[in-house]
Amino acid sequence: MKVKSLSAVPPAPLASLDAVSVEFRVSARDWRGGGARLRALDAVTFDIHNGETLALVGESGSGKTTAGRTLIRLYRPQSGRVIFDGRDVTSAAGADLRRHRRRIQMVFQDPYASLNPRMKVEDIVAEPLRSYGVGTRRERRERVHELLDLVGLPADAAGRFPHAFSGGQRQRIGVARALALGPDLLIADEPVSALDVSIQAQIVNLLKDLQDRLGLTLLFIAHDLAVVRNIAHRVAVMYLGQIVELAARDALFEQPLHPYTQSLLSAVPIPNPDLERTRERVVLAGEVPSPISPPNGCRFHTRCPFAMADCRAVEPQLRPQPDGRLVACHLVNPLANEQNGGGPR
Amino acid sequence: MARYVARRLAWTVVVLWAIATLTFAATFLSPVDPAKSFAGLRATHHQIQVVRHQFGLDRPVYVQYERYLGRVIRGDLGTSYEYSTSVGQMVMTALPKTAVLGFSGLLVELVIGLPLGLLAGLHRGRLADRVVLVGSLLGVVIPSFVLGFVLLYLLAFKLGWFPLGGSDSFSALVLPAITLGIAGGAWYARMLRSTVLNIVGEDYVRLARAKGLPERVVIGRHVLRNAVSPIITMIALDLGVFLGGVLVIERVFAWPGIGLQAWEALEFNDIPVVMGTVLIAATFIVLLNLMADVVNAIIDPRVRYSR
Amino acid sequence: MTRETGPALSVTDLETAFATDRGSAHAVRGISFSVQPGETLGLVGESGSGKSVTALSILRLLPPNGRIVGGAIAIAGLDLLSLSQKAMRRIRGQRIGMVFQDSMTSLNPVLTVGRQITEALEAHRRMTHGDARRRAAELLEEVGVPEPARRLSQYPHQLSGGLRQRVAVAVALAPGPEVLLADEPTTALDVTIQAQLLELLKREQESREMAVVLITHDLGVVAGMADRVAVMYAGRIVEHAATRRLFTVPRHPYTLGLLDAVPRLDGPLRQRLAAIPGAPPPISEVPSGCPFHPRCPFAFERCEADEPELKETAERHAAACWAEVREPV
Repeated sequence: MKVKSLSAVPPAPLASLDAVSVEFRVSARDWRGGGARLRALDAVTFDIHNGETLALVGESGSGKTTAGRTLIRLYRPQSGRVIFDGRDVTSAAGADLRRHRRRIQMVFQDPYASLNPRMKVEDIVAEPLRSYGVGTRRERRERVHELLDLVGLPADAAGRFPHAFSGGQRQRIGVARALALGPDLLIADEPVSALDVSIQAQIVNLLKDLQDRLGLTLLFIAHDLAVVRNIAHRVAVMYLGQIVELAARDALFEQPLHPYTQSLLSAVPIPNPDLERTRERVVLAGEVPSPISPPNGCRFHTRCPFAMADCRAVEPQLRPQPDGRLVACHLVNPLANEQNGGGPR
Repeated sequence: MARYVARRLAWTVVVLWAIATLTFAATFLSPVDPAKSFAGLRATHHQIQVVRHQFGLDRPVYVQYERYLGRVIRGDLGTSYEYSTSVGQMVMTALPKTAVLGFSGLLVELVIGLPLGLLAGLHRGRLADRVVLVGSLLGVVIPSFVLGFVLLYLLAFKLGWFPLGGSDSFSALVLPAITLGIAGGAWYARMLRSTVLNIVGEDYVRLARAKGLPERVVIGRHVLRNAVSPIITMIALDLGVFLGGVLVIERVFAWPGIGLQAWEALEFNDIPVVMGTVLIAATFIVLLNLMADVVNAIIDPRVRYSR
Repeated sequence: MTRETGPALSVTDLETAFATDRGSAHAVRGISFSVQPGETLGLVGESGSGKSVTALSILRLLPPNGRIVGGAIAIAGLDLLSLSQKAMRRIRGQRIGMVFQDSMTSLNPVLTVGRQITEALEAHRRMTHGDARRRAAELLEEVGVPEPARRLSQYPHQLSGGLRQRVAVAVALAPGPEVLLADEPTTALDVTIQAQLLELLKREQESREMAVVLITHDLGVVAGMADRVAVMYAGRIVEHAATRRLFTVPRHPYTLGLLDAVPRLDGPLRQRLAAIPGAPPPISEVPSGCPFHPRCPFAFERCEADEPELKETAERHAAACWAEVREPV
């Protein structure tokens, strides 16, 4: 479903997942249950438009990281389609896949683990170029300097090793590496979660600046809604492998419709003592259910303060709302409106 | 838990079958002609042919293989060319000697290796640690037969405190057991040291201390129980190897176990004995490995729930 | 038996150093604070601030290369630094409890949940095994673990992150300590679970009248849980005040910077987050004078030369800064 826009024909999205499901075999047995299949993504659909920042938000087990990785085709979906710039890359392989991956790059969460400690910074940043055979050595070196400048690192950083840099600087190196090939889409998977608070802001600002300067499209995966508020244009909230709400940023933060979104927002601590102690909270009961055997009907119903009979029986679908957002919830889109003779009991 | 054991048991059977097959295949690769070996040096060509036919060595490979498997399953490991007795019987007669040596060696290994390893791990960087590291390095590096000969020369030959070989008395056991123990103990010391070092830095040890638990409980319950798993596996493999006949040590000390027996069989191209020993040794190792896995599963609950 | 009316925990001029290849590095460079029974002190800081080392120092559980080199620590007036190891062990757990950040690593994976609770009870309360088990089940119920009897025989990896952390809380509370040190207790948890756990901590604190030192980098958590806040930077406390005052009239440029830089759900949306340039210094490379001066928008010559002491600017509100910032920027 596309968000309604003013123009007659909405421009095609840069990337989409169309009813994508991704499953994993789980062999280890721990609190999540026995060895079985885990549906990390269940018929997930969303578009990313050119030049925007779409945030995927969710807690552990929501599938947000899997969605990002499926877009880059690190995983192959069991069903559904992955579309990029009009091309169906769901089953792309070999040269096709390489071509696809050249246009989407990723920045990872852990700045300490995502850089090879034995490689110099210039080698790390130039690696994508070498891998795709782009440019001569001299051209590559120039490009590295260009990129380091772009991310706010001094030129002499090129000859040093990752351990000489702080977490924030390493993350900048990761961003420089991701931009080397000039991708259309940048997937940032929890890019600031491992950084100190005072540094998080630097990286968030950097990503925003880069988006402005380079016309970059950004898929921002995070669990921290406060950070998301500062960078996203649209936000998709995920729970147990499904999107439960997808809305423009302001709409979502000012008036969250899905009960999970509401509880998520009310759980985020606010650095304001008066507000924090007096605000109304939607507190969820119980634990996150096992993603291996998710609840019937609406997956959220076991923890939802508003659960009704329908919620236990029928899985809600994402439906468009008057303001253009999508919500999957029986409370928001009562079943009675859709069926004959049905209704909350 | 039962499912875990059942799965491991199933795999054990597969591995044993693979070992039997490989052992069988090895005889085909061997340049020795078993018929000739059995018939003896002065046999005529005709006599060799008769022997060949008698043993079914002229039948196609897969037939021989089938017969071989059938015999092995029934526990029949063939007949020695040299002694014309059942291999199974020969091995079983010599096995207890090897077992005595093996268990004694293991005991010495553990007595030497574990306390030293624990000591070193708990006192990293200090004198005790350094001494253990250097000592164990020597133990690991010096070949066991060299150590054996040295001890034999000094303590048995020169000083006459111990017999020069054989297995008649308890004192005959001492030197070979110590040789095994020092060489192997060094490995245990280093292994336990490194495991303990890892564990001591873990959060749960810190929390155990933060709970105010007495130090012996912290070490005994929290550190050791986590350190034990790799040791159990090592013990199992060790024992398996020992029971397979520690060839070299038995040779050095003339200890009449299955290792020495196999050594002599090799010299005489007595293939059935060699093969039989290999098969039995491999079986021990595999079974002991299984036991180690089961014990580990009992000690570490995470093992039970994984594949 | 009446309780002392003095502070449950008091730290005075604490200095802790680590031996590194490049000589001695001070992780904590002279900090002082006190916590009353029933009060929560939020200890806020980023990496290298020394907040975790402070907690370990209080329990005297530093790694082998760490040492307390100065200052005093007292619990209800009892000097902890003069105690023998044996006496200190009686204090740990029984009078001071600790909750670590990551329950997956702070609980022993090969022992059952029940064992890890009962051993604390057996060591300090001298309970019989049967009594201890009963008490452990009660504790699990108290911290909100469903089916407590069944959970006693389970192993940590069989529980979800939120439940494990509740178990860690139960372990810490079992002997009934007067002081609880919580080092980033919710950082590794999902935010909806975090809210539950913080609520639990608050409840327990109130019913037991414990003094709690809540160590965290999350200003939102501190805003909701702490009565007083101490902000740490490069091993020193640079500002401390009652929570409300700290958030409304911060005095130290670092506090100001943090409040500006932290992404938040309330307030108007600004085009750019106000970031603090640079990064917190590692403990081996603390700048001269005021350690914050390289990153401080208010720094002047004196800041590079002299390290400022904490100075009270209002009632129980002190900041260590030469610039004497008066208005929030």
